[in-house]
Amino acid sequence: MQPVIKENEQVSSFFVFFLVHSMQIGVGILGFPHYIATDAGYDAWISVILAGIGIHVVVWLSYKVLDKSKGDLIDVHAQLFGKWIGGALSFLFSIYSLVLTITVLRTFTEVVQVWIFQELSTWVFCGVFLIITFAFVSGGFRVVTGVCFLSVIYGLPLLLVNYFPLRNAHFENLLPILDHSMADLLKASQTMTLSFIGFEMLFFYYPFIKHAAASQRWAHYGVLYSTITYLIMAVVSFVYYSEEQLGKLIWATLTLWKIVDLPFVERFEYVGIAIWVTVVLSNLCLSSWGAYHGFSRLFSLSANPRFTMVVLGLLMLLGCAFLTTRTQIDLLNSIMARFGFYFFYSYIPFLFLIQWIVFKVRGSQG
Amino acid sequence: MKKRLLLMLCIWALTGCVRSSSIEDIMLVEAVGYDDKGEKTIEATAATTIYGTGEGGTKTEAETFTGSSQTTKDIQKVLQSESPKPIRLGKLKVALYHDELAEKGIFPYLDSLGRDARVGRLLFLAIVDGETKELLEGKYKASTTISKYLIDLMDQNMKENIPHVNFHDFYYSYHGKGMDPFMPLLKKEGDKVKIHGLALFDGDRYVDSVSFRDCFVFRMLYESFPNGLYQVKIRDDDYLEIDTIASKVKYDIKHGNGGRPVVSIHVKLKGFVEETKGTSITGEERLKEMEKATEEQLKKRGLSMLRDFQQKGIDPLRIGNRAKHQTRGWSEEKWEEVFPNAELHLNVKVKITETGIRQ
Repeated sequence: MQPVIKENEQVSSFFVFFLVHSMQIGVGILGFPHYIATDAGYDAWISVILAGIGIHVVVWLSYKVLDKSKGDLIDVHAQLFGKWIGGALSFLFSIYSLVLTITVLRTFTEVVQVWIFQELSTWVFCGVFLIITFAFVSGGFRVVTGVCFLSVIYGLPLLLVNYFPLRNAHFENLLPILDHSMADLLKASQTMTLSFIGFEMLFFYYPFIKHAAASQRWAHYGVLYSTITYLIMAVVSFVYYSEEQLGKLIWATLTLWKIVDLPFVERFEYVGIAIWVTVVLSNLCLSSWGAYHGFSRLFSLSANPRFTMVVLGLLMLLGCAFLTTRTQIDLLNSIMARFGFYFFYSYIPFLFLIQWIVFKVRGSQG
Repeated sequence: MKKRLLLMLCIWALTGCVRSSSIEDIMLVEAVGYDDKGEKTIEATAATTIYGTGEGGTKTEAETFTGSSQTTKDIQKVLQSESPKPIRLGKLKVALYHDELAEKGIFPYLDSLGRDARVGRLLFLAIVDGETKELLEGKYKASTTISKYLIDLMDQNMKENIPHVNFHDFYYSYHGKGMDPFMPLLKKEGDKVKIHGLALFDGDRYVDSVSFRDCFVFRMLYESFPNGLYQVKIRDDDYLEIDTIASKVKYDIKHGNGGRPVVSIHVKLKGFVEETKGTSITGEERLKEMEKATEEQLKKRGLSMLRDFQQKGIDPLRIGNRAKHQTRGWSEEKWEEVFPNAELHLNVKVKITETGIRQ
């Protein structure tokens, strides 16, 4: 069992709102309208709601599992599958957090390279970003939570920017409603799952929350707020672009910022991308904190935090530099989307069931 | 402390990461024009402003560069041969296309701009009747630089006379189903540039145009708008100038995916009488007569315009797209097959609310 987390390392339960929400809003929001519209056309906004409801169910299941085990995912695995198999599964989940960090960082680097600095070196940019990230991670979970909180606040003004595309919106684009089959809608909600990836870090930070069981409603509020944000962005993109035009755009949301017409700034997308650094930073902090926490618990490395962080940082840097083209980055994103989808809708219900059976059997034996 | 030093070092080192360029060392293009030179050669002209200090403060001077190419459509590469400084498109505001070039299709030229993240989406596009080089090199008294002149000209006219079209709007109709794009048509006349009307496209090819006078009718059918001017002829020697304060258009499309589509267009127009050349404008009867004459004239012009588009197989009014939003299971192929036989109804209602401050 994990040593009990001291109170001065824990955070209040309402911070779960920021932890869940900030991790869900990331690089995905810059391009998701294109992907969901490919699956279900302009009915895809319904899929955003469907995906949101799905995630609420998964969050509810996750809390049931965690509340019962009174620890994090490593404890759950150890309780259910024993030291070796459980350890292997936890190891996989830590690897997942590591790859998640790489995905987010590399995707954002690509945005900067395409939109602002063509000749920017991936090594240098990712390196600096990772140094900043681990500077926060080394401060502990409370600092990471702070970064998440700030990223939500800093990201808020970007929602107001939607005023500009709405000035010449074509609301009739959303008509006729439900012109696509249920299968299309479900396919789009599956695609949408990638955007909701991130709350699963809950499986690592659960013990770091004061009165953890009571924080469930904050997690649900977080998911709700993410769903609303995605819904707004999807609808704004749909009424602003014609369907086939959206099909040609890789970063639909970023392209929306291009028409912002303010007297004091000619190119708002540069400002937007700069603000987005804080949003991405919170993603990176939380997922690399997850990877760090997972590995150091699994291999009892807590005595040597600096070593662990340097190794992890180098691994992430190598991973980022290894990906060089749009196709590779896109592939990594779709692999993560598929993994996330099965993790949410197969593995978590599976854990829930196994745990229910195991506790029942053990309970009746004791 | 060490950590902080490391961070500072990073920030300092990062500034050397990418090439920086100061405003004096680059050439900011504000307007470009593409001309067809025959034998697959295109010529590109870029208008820039050169900033310098002269007596009594800063001095700005308009300058143009021209380059031609047979292989590439990319403006930066085309102009490289003549430009003394590297070309940047960050402030590009206007793109012009030679009418002869546009008849062959302008997508390759648009695409090279559309891919560039540094080109804004508020870019104005226009077709020029004649060579763009001549227009861009001309000297105009109305404004200091040609780009500023063109921006002001189009900005002002898109508020009052012609529908709003920029890069984004063009792409919207170009890619979208059931619609074809259009853009303003310009012509150089002496030391002025004049908006000649609207250039209509079939895909990316310039195929037809609407005269400036008919732009009002086009706009009335295309969108609801607050203000515009239209001249009505009641009978010989009896003219009437209407200042619209509100025009609303509504499409009602039946049988959008089979048989014979029925397109009913309802326009409601409210306006002031700006001036008349004829008898007085007082009296209920006279007002009714004027409303009636306006309605009839708008209806006649509108219907002939609609039939013309229908015959030529172009859809700048986005009728197909409107049908798409009113019909379940709409398909573009089906629509293109049935639309040429579609029944068109146009219903115009005019209400004259005021007649100015004199009787």
